[in-house]
Amino acid sequence: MTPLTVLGGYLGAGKTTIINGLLASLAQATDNPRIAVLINDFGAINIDAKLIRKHQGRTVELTSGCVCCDIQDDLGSALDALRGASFEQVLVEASGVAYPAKVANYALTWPGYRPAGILVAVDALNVEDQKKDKFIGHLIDAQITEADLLLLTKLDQLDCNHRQTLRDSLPTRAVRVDHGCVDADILLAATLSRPDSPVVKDHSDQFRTLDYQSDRILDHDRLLTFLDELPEPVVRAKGWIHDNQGAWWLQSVGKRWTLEPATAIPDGTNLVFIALAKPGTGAMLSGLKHALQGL
Amino acid sequence: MPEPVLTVYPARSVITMNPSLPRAEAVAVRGDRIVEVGTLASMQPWFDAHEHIVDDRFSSNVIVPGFIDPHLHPTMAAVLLPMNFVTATEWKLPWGTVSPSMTPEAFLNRVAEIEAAVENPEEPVFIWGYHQLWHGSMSRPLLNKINATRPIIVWHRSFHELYLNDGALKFLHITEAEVGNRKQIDYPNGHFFEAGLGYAVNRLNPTILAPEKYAEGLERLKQVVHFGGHTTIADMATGLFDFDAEWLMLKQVIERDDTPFRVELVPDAARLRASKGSNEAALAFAKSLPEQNTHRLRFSDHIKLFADGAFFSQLAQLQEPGYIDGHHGEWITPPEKLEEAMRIYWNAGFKIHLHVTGDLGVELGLDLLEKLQWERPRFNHGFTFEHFGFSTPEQVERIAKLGASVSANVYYLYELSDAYARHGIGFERASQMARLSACFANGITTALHSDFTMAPAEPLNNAWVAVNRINSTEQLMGPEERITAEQALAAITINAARVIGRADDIGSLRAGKKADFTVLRDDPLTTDPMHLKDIPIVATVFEGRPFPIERTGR
Repeated sequence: MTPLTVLGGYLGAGKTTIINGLLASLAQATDNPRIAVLINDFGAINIDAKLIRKHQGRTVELTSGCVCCDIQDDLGSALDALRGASFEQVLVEASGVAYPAKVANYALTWPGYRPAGILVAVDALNVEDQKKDKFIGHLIDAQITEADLLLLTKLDQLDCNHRQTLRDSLPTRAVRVDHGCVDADILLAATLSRPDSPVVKDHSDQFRTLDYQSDRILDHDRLLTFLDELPEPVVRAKGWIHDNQGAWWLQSVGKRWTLEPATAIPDGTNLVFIALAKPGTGAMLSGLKHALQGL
Repeated sequence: MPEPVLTVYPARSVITMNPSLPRAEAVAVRGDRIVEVGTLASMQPWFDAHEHIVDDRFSSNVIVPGFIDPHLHPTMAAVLLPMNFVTATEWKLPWGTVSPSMTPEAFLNRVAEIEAAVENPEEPVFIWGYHQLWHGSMSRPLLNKINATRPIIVWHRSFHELYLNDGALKFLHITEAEVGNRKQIDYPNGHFFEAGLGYAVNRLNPTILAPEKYAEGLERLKQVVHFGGHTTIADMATGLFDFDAEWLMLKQVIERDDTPFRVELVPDAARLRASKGSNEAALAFAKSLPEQNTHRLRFSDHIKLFADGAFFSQLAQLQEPGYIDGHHGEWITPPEKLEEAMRIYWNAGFKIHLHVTGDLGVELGLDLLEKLQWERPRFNHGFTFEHFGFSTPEQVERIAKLGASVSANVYYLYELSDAYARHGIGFERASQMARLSACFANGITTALHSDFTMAPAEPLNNAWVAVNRINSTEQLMGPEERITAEQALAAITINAARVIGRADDIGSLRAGKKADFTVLRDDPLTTDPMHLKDIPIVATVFEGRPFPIERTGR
């Protein structure tokens, strides 16, 4: 089943910039995952002509192997069209007025897909005003509440005091996104979904990562407790696991994690954790490593 | 060429909706236009100068201006009309009246009757109108008991859910292996909803949208529109599915000599923008459309925009205190995008029709209209609030002050006010849906529409609801908002003509206007108000040509 990630957020929150940035970065990397991006309004996506292999109707094929499709209010048909095309992940841009959890329901309903998180872009500069707006206030609140992980844009335009107030007001984990640059590792489940895929190491100074490899067979129950208690700075975790109940793919986005039965993976356990770099994160990651050794 | 002969139609009474001459005894017609409304005696100068004949076929009836439905969706109707109606409320259709099926047993019995009457055992049977409030629970096993092999497809009245039997699942190649453990698809019960509905509908589309089916549906729509007594309708979102396909089919099916009505076409701005790439390109296209006009099909300077979500799905955007269960409505168009599009059409002089269902939708429309009036004042701008489900008295005053019109779906009150009082928003607000008396009191041009298939395409039925405000459970809802029979008649004739920008030509009976009449057995202004919806419609006259209405059933 293809993992489906929803990218939500109100108009102006930076969804399009994020998608443009992602497509450009995937085009530069070698051996990048093949993903399909389903977007809400083709007009807004400005893809460098050099990166385009073929443009046909609602679909643009990129030289990187990725494709970009215009949903045109019919996500179901777009998902049908992608079936059998073996993409490693589908990223769906929700409309600015959509409730992202409703869109994510497609991943639970449409055969061939499974949910892989709800990311919601938040305009850090304007979100406080938006929350008070009589027409969209409830919608902004709902989009933030439904997110597994928030992508904070325009944070650089906010002074320090307001940044902290904003972060304190958010109910869930948030990463900073400057000018559309988000690590593909944050957006995508796919970068570690193949045993042979390279782990992207050059994360920006916003993140610290922990790689964990072991040949030991883990204990399933203790693993579940460990995942439930992953501390707040961890925004992503992914990789494969062997435990006393089988082999699994782990996917975690913000506060949500899933274990999917896995086949055809190497022995042992290979995980990467991506956490926000802040005071204490180093110690927290050491703690995680220690905890993993005890599983 | 000899001068066309004058035809004079004497009537028991003529209700003109022209305030300068409200009642008359006869209408004289030359070709497609009225030359005089008055009495046979007053028309004598015409008779002295021109040959005339007296056609007294309507002499025992009442002539009123041809009914106008200013908001109907031919395309959606064309999809629905080939289906079998099994509904909890009555639908009068040209091929027979659908009497209400009000219990689970009645519903299933009726489905079984319909199924048994179809000879080809492989032909799918489509049913529309199931509603759990009346019909209890529905399921694949229940439908299989009727027939497990023939495809049976049961649509919910709201179109937001459907049920399939074994035959239908097989017909659509939907297997348990594929969807058995998915959300929003209940495979054991054959129930598809929300995202799951989309899954089933994608499989059904080739069948229900096949061109021959669509053409059959439009032919049926022609009968329905005539049967309701209309001589004009407005397609209030041309291009909702596919602009080119819809336009082609309308030309083929509607632009024919046997069609007794005209269609005003109002394009859907959002769809135009999607297909043309920008609001500017969409505007240029919309401006060019009148070049394609035919005799019966006319584009002008009207445009459709959408604010908040569907009324039937409780997605109307509400102000405080919102819905009882705390859920919120949805915006169809993001407020900023709506403002962008509205400004472009406003500045180009277009008449904007804004779909609004909840009072927060109305509020957004009012705020934007006020802003645009401030930026670039316009008089007689034709801005119309479409549907107008929930509103406040203060909003009605603002609508009046900003010079806007209202085109209301009053049938919401009939079908939904009881359920919404109990399960939606509470009695106070539910009983005040379609706040129409306030609109008239504030001097707002107020029309009634069916939004067919949201309500039956029967102007007299809508008038009945607006005048009596009695809902489907026979409760009186918001008696202060009842309007008079005369106001209701205006709302389906002259006011509807104003809303679609054709009041100079149609909507009332006076010298110079198109000879469009609806001929009634009884006088709608003097009859018992509870009888309004049952007044038999004898015929329509479209541009001077009589089209009798044959009534089957009762």
